[in-house]
Amino acid sequence: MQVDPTQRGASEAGAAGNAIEVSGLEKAFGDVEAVRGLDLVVRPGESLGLLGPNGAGKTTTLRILSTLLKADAGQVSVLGLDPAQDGAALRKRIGVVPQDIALYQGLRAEENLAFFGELSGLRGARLRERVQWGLEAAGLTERRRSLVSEFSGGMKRRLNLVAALLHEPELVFLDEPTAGVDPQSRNHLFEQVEAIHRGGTTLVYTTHAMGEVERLCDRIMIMDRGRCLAEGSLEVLRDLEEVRAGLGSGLQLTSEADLEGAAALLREHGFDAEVRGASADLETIFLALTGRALRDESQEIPS
Amino acid sequence: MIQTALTLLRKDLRLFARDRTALFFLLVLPIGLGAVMGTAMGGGMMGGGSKSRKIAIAIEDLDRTPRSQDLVEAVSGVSALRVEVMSDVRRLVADGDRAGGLVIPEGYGAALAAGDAPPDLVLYRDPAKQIASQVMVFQLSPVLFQQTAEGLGSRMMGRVTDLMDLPEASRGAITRELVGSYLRVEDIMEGVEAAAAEAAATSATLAPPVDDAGESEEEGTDIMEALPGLMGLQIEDLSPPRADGLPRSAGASHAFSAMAVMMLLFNLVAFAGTLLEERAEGTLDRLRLTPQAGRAVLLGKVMVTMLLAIVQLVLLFAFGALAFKVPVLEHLPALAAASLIWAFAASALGLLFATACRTRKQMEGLSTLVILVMSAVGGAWFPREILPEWFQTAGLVTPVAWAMDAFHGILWYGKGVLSTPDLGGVMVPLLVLGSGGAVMLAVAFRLYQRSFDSA
Repeated sequence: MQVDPTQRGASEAGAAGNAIEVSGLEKAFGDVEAVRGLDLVVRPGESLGLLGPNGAGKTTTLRILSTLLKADAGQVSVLGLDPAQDGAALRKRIGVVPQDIALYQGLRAEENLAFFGELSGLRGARLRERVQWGLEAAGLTERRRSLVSEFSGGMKRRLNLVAALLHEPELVFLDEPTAGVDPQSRNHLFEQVEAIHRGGTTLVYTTHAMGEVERLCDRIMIMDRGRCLAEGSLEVLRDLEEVRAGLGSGLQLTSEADLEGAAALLREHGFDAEVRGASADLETIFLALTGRALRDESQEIPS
Repeated sequence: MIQTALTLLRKDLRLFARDRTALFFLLVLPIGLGAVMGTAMGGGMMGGGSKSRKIAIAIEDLDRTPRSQDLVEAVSGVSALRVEVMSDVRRLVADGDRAGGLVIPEGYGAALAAGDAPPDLVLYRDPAKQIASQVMVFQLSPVLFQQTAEGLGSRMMGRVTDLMDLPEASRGAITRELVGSYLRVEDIMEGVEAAAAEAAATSATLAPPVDDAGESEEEGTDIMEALPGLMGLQIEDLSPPRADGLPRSAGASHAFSAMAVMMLLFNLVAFAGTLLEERAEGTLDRLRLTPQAGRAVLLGKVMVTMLLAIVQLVLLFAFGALAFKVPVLEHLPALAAASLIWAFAASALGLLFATACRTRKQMEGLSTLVILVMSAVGGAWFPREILPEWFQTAGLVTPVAWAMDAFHGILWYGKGVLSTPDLGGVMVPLLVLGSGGAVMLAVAFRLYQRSFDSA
């Protein structure tokens, strides 16, 4: 379902001061249409969860917004700048946590941070201070002099995250930052992300872990086949007709008063019943919107 | 156990068959290199191509008489030689531009016309091109015998009586006796002529013959050494002098030049491949996302590959100077200039490979083939002058040929960057390498922009 912009972002779309404004975004790789007419608005300080099955166009969208790819068509504004024209200026203000662990395995933890910090424009005492912050935030102060190749997956993921945050960006794109890590590392990563969000940083977060989005994001956009299927808060998504229909047959009560009424009615008829409200979780919503068919990407989209 | 081994074998064969790089190294590379080597050394595929293997000889005719022109024409008729009539052939040979140069002196035609022994012809040879210069002498022998036949009898008799150091009074009788045996000497010469023709036909086997005990046949060497004098040919090997008086080794100079050229290419292409590795690992994207990286990423790669190249060249030449007395210090400024420019050109080539290929494996396969072929055609494996003509011409489109000309020119011929009245310089090869490197780098930047860069 393509959400009508007038129903959601219309009040923000086009309004001055949005962190991200996208309209009619299109990108194709040969015959593969990765993004097809996408509209998107992210407000400053907001945390947007970008969900979708494999091949939905999430990563392509992030790459366009973060200056790594040029769009074929559409209007894109990130922090008031055009990524295609003002790439260098924009890169100073954004951070990207890539899906791959993009670190130099042959460098030590602190050398990696110092290297990326310097390329982000940090120098001298400020650089040393931010490297120290990064090591602490990643929980790697004790291992600062260890080679990254000696780290576990979780340690690498933590370092991968803070390397994108050294220059204190206003807007951070996180592309599956917790993939393949143990619960402890995931929790640590999550706390770091929550901390920067509380500090006012705008986040765009893509993941397949629905629980992370429920916990972190103010708003959720579900994409499939290059289009936006639905967008809004978790409550808004739960209320979508497709989602409600997807919950299957059964008694559906729409208010707390009805719940209590139903419980009273059951007791009157001799049932020792307790009626609790059950709401669709995000995974249910996701499957209701995108379907249960397997998405095996056989055609490679260039990174 | 056998069943398990067979299962593993099937798995490995499947994996191998789907690995295009492995297939390339197994099937294409040996055949490709075999074709190049076979063409270079054996003449050509399907048995053809040997006709194009000619040794260039420069002839300077100072006599300019019909007799001298007859000689030039006769030498031109030798199938294994390519004659170029030029002036100042001594310098050409000293510069390494020709393996040998024949000078026909003034008075040559007049002496023959008068029935006298003509003045000696002079053959200048480049000791660094031993194979070519030996072929030259073999090929010239029959022609010179024919051309100087008229004066051969008296020339030979005079030489023999000189060698015997006979008293003046007995020379007349001895000479008459020797002239009487002239016919027998002619028979010997015909035999030598036939041997020379046979040797020319098998020009690849030019080392002195070795007997079963592994020793050279000294008798044969004596005849060969005496042969030029009997033909009225003076041979002068133009070995460049060394400032420190030590003997020069053309082999060492060629070997270290070749290593400087070929190994550097392999190393730099491998290093430039880290660009593709970074692309695959995602660090390239991360670099591109930093505000200050941009195209400095590629510039940084150029700088580091050049630095590594210079370190490698310094170590290589230092070792050559210490262990093999390669005259490095003697030509330090020119060598430094050539090393810098070659490091730049080789780095540019490495980056061209890295930006033209999509994966490191693809690059490794392609670059290995190209570098090996360039090295063969460009003279890093064996001297270019013994290759077929079209091979020599093809070599000029490779940076290897120009780099070899520069390094060997400096280390063996003692050339500087600029020409002097006595010796040419290596300015031309360096200019070709520098401009070629700039073009390759520009193309590499363009490809990088197209395939990696965006905003």
